[in-house]
Amino acid sequence: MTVCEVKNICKSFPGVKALTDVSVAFEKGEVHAVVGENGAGKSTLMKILGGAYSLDSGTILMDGKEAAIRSIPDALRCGISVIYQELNLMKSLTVAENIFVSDLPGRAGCVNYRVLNQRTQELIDSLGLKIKPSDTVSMLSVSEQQMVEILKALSHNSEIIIMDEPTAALSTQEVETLYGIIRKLKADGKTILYISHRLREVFDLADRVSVLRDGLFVGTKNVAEIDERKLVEMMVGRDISQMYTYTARQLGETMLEVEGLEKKEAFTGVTFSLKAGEVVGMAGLMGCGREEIAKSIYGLLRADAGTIAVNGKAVSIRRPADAIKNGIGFVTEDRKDAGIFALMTVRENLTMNILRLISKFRLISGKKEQEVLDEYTGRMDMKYASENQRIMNLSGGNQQKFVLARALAANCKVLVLCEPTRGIDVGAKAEVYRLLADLSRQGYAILVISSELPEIMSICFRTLVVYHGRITGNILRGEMDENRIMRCATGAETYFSEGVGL
Amino acid sequence: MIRVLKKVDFRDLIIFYALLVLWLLLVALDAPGFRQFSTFASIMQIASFMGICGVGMTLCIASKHFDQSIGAMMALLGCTFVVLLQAFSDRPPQETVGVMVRPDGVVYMGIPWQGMLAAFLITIAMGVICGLLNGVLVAKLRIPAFIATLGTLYVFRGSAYLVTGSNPIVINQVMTKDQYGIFNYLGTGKILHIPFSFYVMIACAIAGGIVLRKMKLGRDTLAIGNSVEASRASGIHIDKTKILIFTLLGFFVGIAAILNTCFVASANPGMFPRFEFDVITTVVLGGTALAGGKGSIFNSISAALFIATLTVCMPLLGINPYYDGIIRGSILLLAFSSNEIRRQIEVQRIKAAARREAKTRAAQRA
Repeated sequence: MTVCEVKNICKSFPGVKALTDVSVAFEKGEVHAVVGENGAGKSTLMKILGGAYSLDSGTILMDGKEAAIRSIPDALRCGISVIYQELNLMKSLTVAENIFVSDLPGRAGCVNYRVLNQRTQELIDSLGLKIKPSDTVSMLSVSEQQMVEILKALSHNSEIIIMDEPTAALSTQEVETLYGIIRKLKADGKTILYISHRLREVFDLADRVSVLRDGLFVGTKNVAEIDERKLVEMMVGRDISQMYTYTARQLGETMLEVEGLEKKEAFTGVTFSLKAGEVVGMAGLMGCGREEIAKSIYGLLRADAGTIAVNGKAVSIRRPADAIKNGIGFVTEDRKDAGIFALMTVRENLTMNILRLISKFRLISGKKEQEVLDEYTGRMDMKYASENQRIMNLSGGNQQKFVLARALAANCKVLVLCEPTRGIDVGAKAEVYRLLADLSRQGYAILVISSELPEIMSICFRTLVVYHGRITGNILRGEMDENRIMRCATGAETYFSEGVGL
Repeated sequence: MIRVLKKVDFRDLIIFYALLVLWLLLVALDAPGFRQFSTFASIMQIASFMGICGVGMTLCIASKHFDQSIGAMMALLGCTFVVLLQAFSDRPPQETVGVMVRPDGVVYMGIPWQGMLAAFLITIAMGVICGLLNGVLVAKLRIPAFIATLGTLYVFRGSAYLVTGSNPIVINQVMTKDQYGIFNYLGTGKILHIPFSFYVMIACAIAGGIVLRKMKLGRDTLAIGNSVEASRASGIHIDKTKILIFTLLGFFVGIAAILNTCFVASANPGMFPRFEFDVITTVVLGGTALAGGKGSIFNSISAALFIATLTVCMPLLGINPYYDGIIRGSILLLAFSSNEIRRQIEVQRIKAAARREAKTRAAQRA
């Protein structure tokens, strides 16, 4: 029986079409996984169902009747609850207060805590959990907090519970508990929409799976009928290996040497080097210290110990200006807040690092600035309406090209790139990969920090793996495989390919 | 010229259009005296003090900061200026105005030109120091600008009372008639019917415009207003830039304080109450977002003229001056709600376009 159906949903944001003509149906009592790459539109769809976004066009049917969901209370009334990846709890309040915050029992403006805690206890018992109604949320573990969110959804009597990447922050043990809860909810006839990047979970848990790609609906399949390879193909739209092909290139002199780099409580004894023409990946789980290592090389963090040498010369990097001066460029993972200057024009964004070089008598030369823009537009093929267009109105891929071009314009030959393809669409991804390949052929040395293993495996000559602030793997292209990288990343083994120095 | 015009986004000039509309309206209503040069001169006169400070404040707000100490700073610098003039004069101020001969027959010299020059320079330097202090408090001691400049507001105002002994001082007491003529000209003189101080404001605006649009300092200012993180990653010296911006504002306040002192020919420590808010109002009316990241000096100046026009013309139209605050406040609120209204219209436009597209697609399917 179809409990909820969306028909021809469209949603645009300034500059992007997040969803185009998407139609999906969800059955009662199923676990329905929704998958797709970053930027495919999964979260947008879920936010529309949850009432956080309003749709531009299309309809939502609940039990066959059209439902007007324009706000989160609307969605709750229709029986839809969303549990976001970043949990929305009031940390200093108790479990009971959080669950019933919108509907506190009481009289004459005073909360009746006895009734409140009793109701909460009933909910907790229904799932067989071990938390107490009077526990303060901040004292609970992440998985327990997630359970509180689930209880909150149950308290609203929601028929449909949407979970956005629920396992992202959980340990293996906790994931098992969550699975148990989800199966129980399913047995009670609830519908679970499960968004995840981890395809294994989809096969473990889901009955059916829907795939979105670039804001379009690709299809819904019974999980029993497809395998992982087929699913990936649906997500990517083509065989991923055809998107980009690695070609061997000549390695040159060592350009960056990092030795014994250490930052307390982040990483220690980090030693590696980059050669001209080399694209080196840096893999590791969240919180392993990758980002901190990258930021320390660029001077955004100050390392406590260790040396950095560029082109064989030891350099002191205390702030990003020093790194730029020494030819180290950086692309942040947080493009929107720390990469672009949203309200400034594309031209101003490009030349931010080199204003001194294009100034005469301290006045910025508009002509030279335009020349720089033309040069990089030619090299990197950015698409923009005019040089005075605000960068915030470009697509993520084009913004990313500008952020990268900013480092190139400052004549940086060593590039440290954090998640260079995060939040950009598939086509732009392939373009970025090609760009990086071109750059490495021109003698740039590139370090790519990425959470996406397929990305590292397809573009990198060599991969460093970080576990708990230490380098546990240095794996050459020929020996790279997903399992080996994961074992190094979880500390299960260390692997250093023969014949390559760190 | 055409190249420059091409760069202008005419949608960003709303306050300028509002100013023109207001003027046309006043002409159409045939406001008594509005078409006289003298009325325009007083509009320009009032606008110039706000405008000069507005240039510095535009930079400050574009960097996501603001300075609420400038009213007190104006008072302190004005008082410093007259106290300095007093100190450099050989004539005791307590005697009758205009008497330049001592009872024993010795003629007072008033202020020697070196003394005048020194008074100008020291006052400007004081402005720079006041601004520097604000900048250091914000950038180095990491005090939020709201608190830092609230603190200095009290300090500056208190210092103003201290240097004057809390008395108003009239400048013509301490100088000869000829010398007073110079100051009078700075304050009220006109070239081609336009007040001298308006020319100074134009010069300050051009200087500020060059800083904002053509110099690294201006770019860095906007960059910091957009994203401190991204600015740091671009190698911008954030603290240095912040300090420079506040210092520059102090410099402009110094100029405005001198011109104003010459205009009113006196200074008293309680003057310019809430002046900071008048200036902030003009800057944000000019479209410089309090959230930082963009700014236009031209629009700030237009807004200063707009406010000055209201101040001057309301009495001409027979409107009770008590309405001044109400009208000013309402315009500010209106200007800000218009931003949100425009945004909503934009959102609706996108939605409508999407709906149309969906309809065509549905038609194609059918």
